[in-house]
Amino acid sequence: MAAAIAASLPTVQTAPTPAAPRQETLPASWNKSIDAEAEIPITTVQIDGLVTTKIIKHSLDSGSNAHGLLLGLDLDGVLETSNCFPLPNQSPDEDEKSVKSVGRYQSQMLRSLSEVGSVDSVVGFYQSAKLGAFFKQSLVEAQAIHQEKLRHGGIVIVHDTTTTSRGNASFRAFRLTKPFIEAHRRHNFSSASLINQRLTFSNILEEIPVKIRTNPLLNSVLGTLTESHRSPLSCALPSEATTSAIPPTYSTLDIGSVGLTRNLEQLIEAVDNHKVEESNLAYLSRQIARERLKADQYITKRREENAARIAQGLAPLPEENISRLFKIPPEPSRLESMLLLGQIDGFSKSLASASSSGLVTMYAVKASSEA
Amino acid sequence: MVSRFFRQAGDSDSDTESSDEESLTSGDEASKPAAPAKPKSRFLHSGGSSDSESSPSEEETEDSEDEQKPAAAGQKVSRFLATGSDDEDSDEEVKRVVKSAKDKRLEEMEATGNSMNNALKINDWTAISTGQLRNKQTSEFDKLLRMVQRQQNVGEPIPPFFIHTIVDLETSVNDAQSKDAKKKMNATNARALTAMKQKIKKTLKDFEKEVKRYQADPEAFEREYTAAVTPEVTTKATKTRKIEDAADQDDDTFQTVGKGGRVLQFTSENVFKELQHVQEARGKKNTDRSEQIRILEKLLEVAATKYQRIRVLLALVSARFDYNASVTTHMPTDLWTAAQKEVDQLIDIVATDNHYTVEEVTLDYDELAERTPDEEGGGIVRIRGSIISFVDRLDDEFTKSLQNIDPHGTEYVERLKDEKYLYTTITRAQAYYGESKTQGDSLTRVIMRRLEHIYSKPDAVVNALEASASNTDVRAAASKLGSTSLLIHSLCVHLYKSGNSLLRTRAVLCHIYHYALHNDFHTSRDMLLMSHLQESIHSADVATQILYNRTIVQLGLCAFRCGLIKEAQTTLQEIFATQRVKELLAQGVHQQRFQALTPEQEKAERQRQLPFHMHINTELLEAAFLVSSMLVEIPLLASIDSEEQKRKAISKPFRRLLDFADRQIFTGPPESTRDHIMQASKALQNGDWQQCRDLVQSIKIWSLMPEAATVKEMLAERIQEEGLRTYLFTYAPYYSSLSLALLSQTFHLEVRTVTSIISRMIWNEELSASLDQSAGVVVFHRVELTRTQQLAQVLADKVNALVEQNEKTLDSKLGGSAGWGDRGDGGKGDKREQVQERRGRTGARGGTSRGRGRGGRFQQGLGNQMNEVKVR
Repeated sequence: MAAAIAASLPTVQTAPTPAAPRQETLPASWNKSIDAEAEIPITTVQIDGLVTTKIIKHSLDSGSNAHGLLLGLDLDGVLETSNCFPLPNQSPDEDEKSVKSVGRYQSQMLRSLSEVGSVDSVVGFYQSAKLGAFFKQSLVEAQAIHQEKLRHGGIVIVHDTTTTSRGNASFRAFRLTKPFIEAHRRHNFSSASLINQRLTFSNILEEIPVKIRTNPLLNSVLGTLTESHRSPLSCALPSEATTSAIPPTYSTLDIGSVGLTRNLEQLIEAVDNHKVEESNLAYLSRQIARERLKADQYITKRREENAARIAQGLAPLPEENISRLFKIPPEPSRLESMLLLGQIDGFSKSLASASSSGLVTMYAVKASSEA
Repeated sequence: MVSRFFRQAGDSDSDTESSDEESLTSGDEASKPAAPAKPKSRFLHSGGSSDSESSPSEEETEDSEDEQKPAAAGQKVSRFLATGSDDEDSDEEVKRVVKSAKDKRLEEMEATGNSMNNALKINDWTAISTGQLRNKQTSEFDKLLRMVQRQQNVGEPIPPFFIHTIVDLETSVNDAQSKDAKKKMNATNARALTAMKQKIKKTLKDFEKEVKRYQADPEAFEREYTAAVTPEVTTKATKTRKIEDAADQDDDTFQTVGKGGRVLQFTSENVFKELQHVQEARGKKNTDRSEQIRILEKLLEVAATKYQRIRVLLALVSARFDYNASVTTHMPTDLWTAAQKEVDQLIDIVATDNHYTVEEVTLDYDELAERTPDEEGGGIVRIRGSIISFVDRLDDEFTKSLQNIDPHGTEYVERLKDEKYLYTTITRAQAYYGESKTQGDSLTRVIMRRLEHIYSKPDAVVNALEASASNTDVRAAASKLGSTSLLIHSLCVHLYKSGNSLLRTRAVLCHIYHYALHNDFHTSRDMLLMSHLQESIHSADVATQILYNRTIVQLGLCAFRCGLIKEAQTTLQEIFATQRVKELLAQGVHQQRFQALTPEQEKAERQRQLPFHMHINTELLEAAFLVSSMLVEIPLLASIDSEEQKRKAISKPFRRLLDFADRQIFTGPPESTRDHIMQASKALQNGDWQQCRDLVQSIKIWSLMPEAATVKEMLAERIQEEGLRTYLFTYAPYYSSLSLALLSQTFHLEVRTVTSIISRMIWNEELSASLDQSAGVVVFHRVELTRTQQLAQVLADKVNALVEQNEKTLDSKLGGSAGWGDRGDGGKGDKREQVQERRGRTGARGGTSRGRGRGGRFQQGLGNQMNEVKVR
């Protein structure tokens, strides 16, 4: 397992590797024979109850942008995440220092965990998102880095805080698809390459089924907690007649539309962003077209000149490198607009689901008020 | 006589000469003295008749003689005195007269020679060579050379003193150079000397022969010269006299007519010859155009046969049009009038006798031979020429003169009166072409000209023109039709049938304009829409585009007069949005702020300008536009509540003005039309419809509108209605119900009208209210949009925009019309929408309906996915 451990070491850029001394003694050819699991692709992700609660707690505490590392092992195509720990919140304008400190924190944490004897192999990270719009440059970038370093490319678990607050915790596991990794490696997100790779926002990530596992002991505890039992007082009010340790929630029956408004606002913002991005792209492509036209004209002119010179019996002028004469700007990257589209998609899907459930509740309310 | 010869030979000592003569005359008796002097003076005078100065002085002397004769009979002493004075006079006369052109030259040459000699004496080479010393531009030597050159050109011998001078000069130059004197000279002088030497060398070479002869025997040379000059003078004198006798009308053109004088003047026999002469001279550089015209006029008088008259008339009219060489200036009015009369004559001749036709393309014929119908094949004499081009040119020149005359002067009005005659000529031409039926193209052209004269004029003016046309003996069929509309209709119909698409377009526009002028809005609008001109007008020529703009503007004014405010607003909107109304109507050159026009552009622009009497008053136009904008825009402003919608203005120019007026801190009493309208708008916004009405009605420019009173009444009515609407929009949120009676009282409208307006607003979903007929109130249902609903609307708008953007991109990717968005009824939908806009429906409605249409298609396209979402 040593090799596996070495391979799955945390890889945030500057993190000093908490290298195990045995690492060097292991020949590279052994890797395969020792680590048989690397051959088996992951088909399911199994999340421990501990991980879910920790993620939910972290997300609730830190608000929107909570993320942390997942620890665990893969076994027979099932990635078992048994633990996780949060990472400090990254500000968008992260500087060198904060990155370093994050890396330091991460390595220390891992060392401490291994000292305790807990699992210390990183298998991915988790990220909280709102309203299903988890497509962000940072997420994709981080995942792309992990993909190269981590075992099986690593996974990302997205936790949607909004649905959680509605009483319906959502966890989804993703990993990057091959076309995207290919494109990312070549840093080529031009329209042509997107078309070639058949890359749209919907196939940047592929979803892996998630299974939440709680150990039987915990199950039984939960069962006892939710089980209602009659009040010992016989003359109790009907509302207090049955009590349970965890009272049942009725948040699904809430007919307020606060979430809807927020959803709409964010959707509008995303659409606006997309529009801005589109106009940027259009501007760039116009500029490219203009430059290219200039270059083409130059080339044809030079060719005609050369033809005339040859006809006159003169040596043709050298066909100079046009790239030196004309600076054709590189094709703009479509990644950003693609991600924005993904965001819009996420927002509208959550909007659709929220409004459909809202409609159902409305009908229910109507029916009940009529009854 | 002897004295004269002396004078001729060496005029240098004229002083002695005259004194000599004086002594001679004074020595004689009183009766004699005048006798030799007088004939001589006359004789000499005629010899130098080319000198214009001399002729009045001669008359003077004659006058004085006439006066003297009776005086001589009376008093002897006085007579003596008189003759004495006369003698002196004549003497002076002689002295002056003798200076014929040639003599003058000689004298000048001598003077120059003398000054050169003087300069030589003081060694002043600069004066000789460059003439700097005397502040002259040309040097003395150059002057002399030039004069000799002239002498040679005229064919006269070179005077010996010239040769003498140059020979002298050469020697002195050589002397000066060889001498040490050169060293003493200053730099300029030395330079001048060197230059002089060069020049002398050259000159000597030129006159090598003469110089040799002179050097061989100076005296012989001089004698030769005198011999050459003397007979020359006499012959010349006699010759000029002859010419003077003959050419009493003019003296410049005998080169073209023939040197032999005008013995055989213009007779009908040589008409063709003369005509050919004139024709040959035409367009040449030195031809005197006015003289040609005179010759042709003479020829016209003597022309006997019809054929001759036609030929001469054709030439004469072209000669008149040729008179002005430059394009920019217009033809003088008298010439124009004459040309117009002659075109009339021409048409008359051709129209009365159908054996003669004037055609642009004919078989070759002998220019010099007389032709009669009997000799020609088919009995018709075809003459090359083009009456229609004359008519066109007449019309063009008329327009040009109107463009150039100050429109505020009486001259303009005077000139405008000529339109009557021009119009008559045009109708005449039309009648001729209508009857001859051979030149259909010319007929359409002349009809177009006629139409362009009358389409923009009110009935009274057209009737006056028609009356003047029918007063003359024109048998124009069209003019008998009576009503102007019928006349224009018949003219236009004729043009529609013609094959020329440009003329057809113009005819349609004129027709529409005419209908619009007669307040027939619906007919003219339908014609405009049916013509589909608005789609193709961008490719038309500038003149037609101007006509189109005029038509549109007139249509807008017509709608305004008819009280169709919305239509007027939408029609005028387009032209006012450009802010170059004057330029678009060709009523003034637009000042380019950023780039100056090139002279050519400016010239072209100026030529396009319409004459003043055809202008549409732009101030009136603006007033109409702004008032209609006010009536449309103010209720709209009141109806919208969110900032987002506020940006969508119907009339941007009006909105801009209103914003500007809003920003004004202090507003004085209104002065300009704009001020009036802006203050009226504010009053309307405040619900103060009476003030609004007063302000709008006090605009002075309405007086230029035909039927101003009815228009004002209409405006008052509209202001009442729109005031009510604005009031309802503005104050509806503050009421739960409003009494209809109160509303009708406040706005001085009938209850029925109030009810209908409110009903319309309710129906258009502009007002959420309902009418309670029994209680006579309108009950408002104010619905506040929740935040979610507002957001949903915003989102819908944004997504709509996104979809449209996508479709546009797709269209451009797929290439033009093959796009997804234009499939099927897409194209038609657009067209229909345009029509709707033209018809004056609000643009906003068109926009939303289009949005919905596209949205539907979008939904279809994404059908599967949408269904999926629903299923989930």
